Amino acid sequence: MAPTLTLPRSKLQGREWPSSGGLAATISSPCRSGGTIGGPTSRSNKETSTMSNTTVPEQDHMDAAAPEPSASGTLAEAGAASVVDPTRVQLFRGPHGILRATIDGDRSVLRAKVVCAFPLSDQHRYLSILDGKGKEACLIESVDRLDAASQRLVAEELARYYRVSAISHIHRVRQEYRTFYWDVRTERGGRDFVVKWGPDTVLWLTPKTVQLEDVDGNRFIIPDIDELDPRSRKFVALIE
Amino acid sequence: MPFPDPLHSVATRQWEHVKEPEEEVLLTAAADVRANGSFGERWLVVTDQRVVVLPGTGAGEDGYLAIPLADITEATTETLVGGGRLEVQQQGLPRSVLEYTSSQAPKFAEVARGIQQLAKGQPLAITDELPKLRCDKCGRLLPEKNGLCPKCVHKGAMALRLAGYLRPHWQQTVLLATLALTKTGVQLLPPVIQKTIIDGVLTPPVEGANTGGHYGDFGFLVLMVLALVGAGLATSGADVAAGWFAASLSTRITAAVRSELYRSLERLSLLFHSKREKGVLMSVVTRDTDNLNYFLMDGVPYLLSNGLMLIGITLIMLLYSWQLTLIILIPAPFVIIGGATLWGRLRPLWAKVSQSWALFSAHLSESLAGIRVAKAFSQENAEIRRFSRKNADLADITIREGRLWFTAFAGLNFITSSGAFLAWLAGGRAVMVGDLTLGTLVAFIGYLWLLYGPLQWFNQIYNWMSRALAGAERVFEIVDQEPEPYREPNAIALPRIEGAVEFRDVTFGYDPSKPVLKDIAVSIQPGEMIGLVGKSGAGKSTFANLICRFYEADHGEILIDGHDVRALQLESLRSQIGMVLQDQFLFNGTIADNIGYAKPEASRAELIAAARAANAHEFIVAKPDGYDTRVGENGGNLSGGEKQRIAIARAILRDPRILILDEATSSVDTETEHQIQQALARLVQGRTTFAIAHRLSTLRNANRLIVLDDGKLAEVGTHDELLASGGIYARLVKMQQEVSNIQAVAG
Repeated sequence: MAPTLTLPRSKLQGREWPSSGGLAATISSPCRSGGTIGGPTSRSNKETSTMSNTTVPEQDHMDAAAPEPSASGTLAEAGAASVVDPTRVQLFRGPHGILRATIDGDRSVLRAKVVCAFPLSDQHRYLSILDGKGKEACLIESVDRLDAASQRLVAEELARYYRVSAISHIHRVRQEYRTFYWDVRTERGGRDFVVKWGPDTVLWLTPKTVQLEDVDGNRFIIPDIDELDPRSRKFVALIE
Repeated sequence: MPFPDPLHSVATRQWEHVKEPEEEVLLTAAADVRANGSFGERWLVVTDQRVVVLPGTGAGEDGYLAIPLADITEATTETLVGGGRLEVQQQGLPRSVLEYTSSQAPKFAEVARGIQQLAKGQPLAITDELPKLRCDKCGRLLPEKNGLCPKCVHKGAMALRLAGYLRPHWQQTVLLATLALTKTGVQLLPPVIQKTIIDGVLTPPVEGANTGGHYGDFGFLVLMVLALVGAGLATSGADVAAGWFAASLSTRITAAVRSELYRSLERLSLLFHSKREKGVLMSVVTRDTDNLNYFLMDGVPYLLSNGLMLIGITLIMLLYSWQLTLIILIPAPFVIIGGATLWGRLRPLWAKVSQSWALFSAHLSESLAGIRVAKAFSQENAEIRRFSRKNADLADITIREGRLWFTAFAGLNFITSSGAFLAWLAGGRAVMVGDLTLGTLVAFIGYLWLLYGPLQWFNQIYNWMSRALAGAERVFEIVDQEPEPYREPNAIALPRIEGAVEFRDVTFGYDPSKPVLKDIAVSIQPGEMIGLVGKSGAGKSTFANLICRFYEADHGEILIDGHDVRALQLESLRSQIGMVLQDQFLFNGTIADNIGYAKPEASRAELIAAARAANAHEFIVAKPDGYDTRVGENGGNLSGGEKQRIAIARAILRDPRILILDEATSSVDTETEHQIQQALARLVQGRTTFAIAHRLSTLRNANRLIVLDDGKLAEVGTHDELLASGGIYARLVKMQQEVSNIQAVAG
């Protein structure tokens, strides 16, 4: 069974949903359904029960008129096809704190995921909102024009998805040829990890910013090596 | 004891607070991310009734969660960047259970499987063999999962292991040691001779002193000078002979190590190779073994002769004057400490130089391989700039190393010279007051340089040795990796495979936490032609790779003729499987070499027969050099269709019982495809065949089609059955028809 239900645009404006108190209400007032930061609230849990009675669980998003790039169009047209005006997009929490999104007059994504198109080089622009199947629902060029609640949710989701811990102090680095054993303090607490030196594992994003990927695939970043204390800075010199 | 982590005391107390009566704990696991996202423990307890996340113990933490198993329809892991999340479907709605770092992804992949089994009412059956992240002995993090602990790899043991390679050359080794001993003895002679000349021949005898009565004796002087010449000649001779033997010994040892390393590389699994950069492996094979060679050729003889020299000189000097010996040894600790500091600074730089070389090699190899693409996109200048940057980086680091070396070395030399200053000062005074003869002082100063030279170099030798042994460690790390099981003693040899293939609930992921194939269960009869269909990334090639046992299933079994592939002799299995891939690799040799690669003993008649069957014979004989045409690097002198047909001829010559065609015709024109299809039609007869093709029309002759979707077996049936069912296959066929209609209109 196809996971996506395609509906005419008019049906998405709340009039023809099974219950006006269910999803339609949630869509029209996103902040009511757990728009607060910090996961599910008692209010959102209440709405869960309402929702689970009124929606079709398999649906990942309600798609009105998914814009398709025209075959004969220009590169710019193709690129702009999924870019939406951020003011039309609202994010909110659904049951169990699951992120949802509505694109005004277009569609509602029941299980949304926010990813960066350029997570290493530009984290604040070109954010893609994906549905539960990993298909892009829309692309937002800049997060700044989202409403404040949505912006907070984007920040939360990105922090959860890109689990990159910022190193604030380096206790010790031991080098054994191309293998580095790090013992550091991050904003998430202390951690020791092993990095095998390579172009993908010691990645200088700028002359002052370095991202480290350990042998298990965990990521750490030193946002500005000049901000480190002198002792920590000395250890960074080992990988410069 | 519940798997995988037994609850510790704090978690046990927490569990006591939340457990229900008559609840049986089946599985406990500690995540390393707290509810607030910080690093720390968070416990999951799975019982026969519930999935429970215990409340956290950190300040302001809670995160308690309890989900009845009866409410769970599915348990999965979501891969995050640098971590993961365990999720369940609770009454049809997704629910995040807990998060963890990437280090724990394999563990929670198993946990998710376990929850899924329990939710379905199945018994819990998950693996208890998780990758080892820390050394069992010292607890340190391992440089890679299940890898060797560098701390616990003893340097002495490494040196002994290297010494093991000397065993076949023991006579040369004994000779080398004797030469080193001889050279040391001879080198100690000149200062004694100089002393005799000065005190015995050139200095007037002092009353009462015994100078040997040779004062003014020219004949004795000539004799002494001849002795000096003899000592010089003997030293040089011993040097030449020792160098000759050392060069031969070290090169043989290094060649043996390199051969063993290459044998291991050939026999290691594709999983190992897919995780290692080729440039880095090349660097181990070339640079690390070179370092080893230089150390064995120059370092070991140096260590041997100078070690003996140090002992000899100290004894002689103590014999002449223990007071002066102690004075001139004052700078010795500074020389040793200075040397150690210098090598401490140089070591990371050497590592950087080596790393830069590895990156440089990798970049060079990549850019030369991609030169066609660079030209096609007019990016030659950009590539030149990239190369120049890498080259400049390499030059920078080498300059830094060179500058540090020369600066520090000059400083070290000065400290060494201070021994001579002290010798002149204290020794000169002793000569003046008659406590020491001038000859003895000159001999002292001669020995001083012989003493301090090795002292400052011993540090380098130590580091040289460390570097060589570190290289040896990396070499042996590869050599000691578990190879593919070619020679399992109890493995079953199948002289002739019939071709029955069965997948029994097979799950596999290149990273076990990210399964590519999920619970695949299908049975294929001998001689069947199976079309594998699905989107890119659906797991089709992985399916084929598992049949060849390039990788092993994480769960489930793959049976060939009723035998688990893991129980079969690898060579007997693979020798009966033929593969034709989309982008065939040809070795740099002749066409005949490449066809014959599958069966080196094949006669020319067999080569021609195989080429004929592959519709390749005609184009081959039309070439000026026929079957002797050199194909160039990776078949660069041939067209795509020609390479493909040579690959098919290679597969035909092997006469495989199971044939895998992975997009074998996707990169050629229609006419060539027709010829290849004809060749393949001959090839598939009487063999179990798995054909992967995006162009579904090429699979129309398949007995059955297996449709994979997101790693799961979505549909199995004949073309007609699947069309009639209106599922994924029918949709794909319809889409391809639409595309070909569009192309026809556009064309």
